[in-house]
Amino acid sequence: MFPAELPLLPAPAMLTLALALFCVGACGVLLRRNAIIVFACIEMMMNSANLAFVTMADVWGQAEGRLFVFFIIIVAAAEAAVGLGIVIALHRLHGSVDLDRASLMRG
Amino acid sequence: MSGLSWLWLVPALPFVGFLLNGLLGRRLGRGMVRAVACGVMLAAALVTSFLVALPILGGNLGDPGEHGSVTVHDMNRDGVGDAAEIVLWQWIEAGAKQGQAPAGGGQFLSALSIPFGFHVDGLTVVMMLVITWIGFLIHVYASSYMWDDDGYWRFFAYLNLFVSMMLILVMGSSFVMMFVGWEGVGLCSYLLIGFYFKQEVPPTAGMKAFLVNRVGDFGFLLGMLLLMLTFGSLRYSELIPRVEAAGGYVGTNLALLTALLLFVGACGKSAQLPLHVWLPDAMAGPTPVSALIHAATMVTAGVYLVIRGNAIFQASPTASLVIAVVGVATALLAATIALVQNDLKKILAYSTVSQLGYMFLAVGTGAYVAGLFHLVTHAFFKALLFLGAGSVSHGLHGELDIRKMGGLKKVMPHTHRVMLVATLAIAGFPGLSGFFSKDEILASAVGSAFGPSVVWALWGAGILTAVLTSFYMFRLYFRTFSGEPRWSDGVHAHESPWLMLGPLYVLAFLSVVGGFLNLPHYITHTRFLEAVISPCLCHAGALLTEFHVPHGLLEAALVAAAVGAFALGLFLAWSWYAKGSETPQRLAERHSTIHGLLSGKWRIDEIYAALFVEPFRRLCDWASSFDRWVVDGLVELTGIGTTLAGEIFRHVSSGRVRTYALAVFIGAVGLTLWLMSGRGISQLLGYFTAAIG
Repeated sequence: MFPAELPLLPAPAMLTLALALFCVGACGVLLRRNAIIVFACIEMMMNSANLAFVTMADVWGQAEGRLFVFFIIIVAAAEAAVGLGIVIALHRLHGSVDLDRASLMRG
Repeated sequence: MSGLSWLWLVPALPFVGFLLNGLLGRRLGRGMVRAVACGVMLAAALVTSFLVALPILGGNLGDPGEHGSVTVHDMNRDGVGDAAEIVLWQWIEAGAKQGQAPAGGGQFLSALSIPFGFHVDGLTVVMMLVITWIGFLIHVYASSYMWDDDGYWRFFAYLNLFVSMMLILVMGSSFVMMFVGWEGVGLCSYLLIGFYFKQEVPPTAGMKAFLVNRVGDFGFLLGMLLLMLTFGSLRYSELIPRVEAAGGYVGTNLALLTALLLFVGACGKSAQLPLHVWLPDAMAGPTPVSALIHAATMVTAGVYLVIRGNAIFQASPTASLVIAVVGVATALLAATIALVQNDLKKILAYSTVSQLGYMFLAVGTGAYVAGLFHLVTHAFFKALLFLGAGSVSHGLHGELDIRKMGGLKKVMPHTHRVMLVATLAIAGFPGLSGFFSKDEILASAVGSAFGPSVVWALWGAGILTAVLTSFYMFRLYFRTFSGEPRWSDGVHAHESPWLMLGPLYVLAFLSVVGGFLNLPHYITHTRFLEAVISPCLCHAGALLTEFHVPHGLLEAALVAAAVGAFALGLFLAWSWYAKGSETPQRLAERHSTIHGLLSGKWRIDEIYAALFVEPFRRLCDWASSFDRWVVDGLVELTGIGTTLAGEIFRHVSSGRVRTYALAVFIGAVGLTLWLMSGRGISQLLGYFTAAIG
């Protein structure tokens, strides 16, 4: 079904790369205060998932994995639009994109 | 026939008056309100007289059978006149349809069918005439008496509604219709007793009347249900023949229970022992209300109930004896209380209770004609007494204490004249209406079917009551009208206007000639009332078959005793009160216990307060604290729990986005780990299959 000669790293390496990307993204989300950086890290986590999806789709020889990647990209695009909007609104409100200052929801 | 198809007008006219005065009265102005209220009453009285009474009593309704909505019964057993049932529409229908077999159970237990309709016969016509004509007179009187009251239109709206409901009570074609009117008049009574709602006493008195009547109504309702279960109908035209034809019903415990339950209802409405306590308090209402509702019409509804259902009561001689005993006990007890009261209206109220007791003595001994006779004559002279008392208090700026009256003979010659007539009538002056009706009751007690010791005990209590009646009525008369004036300072007594005196004179005339409705046998044998209501009575009943009217020497002795009772009461009252003797004062001091007991109304109110009111109040207090501490406590606890939980969990909502992110992250990782352990996945799959399957 797929062109056999597609140049690919071996699956374990790809999954390790995906895990590494996910961890980097997660650390960025949890540790950074700049909203744009946090946002980029979320994108990175999402794309690490994409990577895992295509890898496993290859390993198991199933198309659904690749299909899901497209869905995720679509969702990511929508999310990016909304997310960036939030960031702009945040900047307008506080004059900065420091997440620690956006604490209006404190109970 | 044409007349009866307009029968519905009789209750409808006062109802229209109620709607007009009730809805528009404030805008109509006093003159219009008066015109509407008295106009509808006059119209109803005229319709009753010419379109109902004449055809019914004349017996020219036409052939028996169904004519459209009117069913004519041949009632010509041995009386005069016809009877008719008019079905306006089918009102309550339930159960098996016609022609279907009963679903099971009793002999008659099948469909419940109660039409909204009227049943008119001699008894109904007599009641209707009393209600509409006396009602009209009292409306005319009240239109002047109440003139200065702010609630003029409200008063007449209630009064019109009362008349309408009272007419439905007596005209209804079934016990259910009677119950509608029964509750309607109860409501109007409540509203009118509490008419002066800004004062303290009247609303309480109204509530007392309402609550005591509830006790009676409960019995009435249960009795009705028993009748329904036993005979399968509450329409007089079906029920009464079934009762009369039911073999084996007479004397059973079921018959006793049914009759007693119905009598409990009558007790409540007609203020008999032990439910008489509300009527004296009901005098807190305006005087015309006391005259119309609490003397002439509504309180006699219980007597009407017994006469209407005489077949049911005759089916249980024991129940009838209970009625007679309760009646005569009430008569005696109320008369003793009336001896020492000082409030003009209170005396008349106890007198009413006492006279109602006479009526129940009559209907209990099977003297239904005598009961109705006394009902009618009592309506004349007691309405007159109350209206006269209203005239007196009107002339004395609202004074009702007879200790502050006296010497009114000269200032109020007209009121004095009619009150004297009424007093003579109720006390039993030979020839006046009260003499004949009371005499007939006492003679009937002697002639009744119960054993000799019982009948003489009933008669003895009755004649003693007659002495007391004569005494307390003349005490009232002498204290009010003769002697020296004892008015409060600043009172300028004056005679009432002619619009009030006119009805008084009409009623005085009726009080004089009322006896001619049913003159005793020793004068004539053409007795109007007996002939008129004889068709409504169950002549095969246990009480009437064994009824022996006294005659000859015994009759003469009874009449002599009645005259003697009148004379004795008059003499005592005259010697003690006409000239200001010290004897009553001395007697009261020497027998202070008895005097205290009597002026304290036998302490019955206090007994009820201790037996029922206080325990009930304590129960209410207990229920109130249960509600406050337990029910409310649970609710409060929920609130406190929520607040506490909020206090704890508000710290979770720190507002720091990265903390949230961390929570999400930990959650996601945890979820993943849980899913990756095999157990979690199989559980998840289990949920899915369960949800799909």
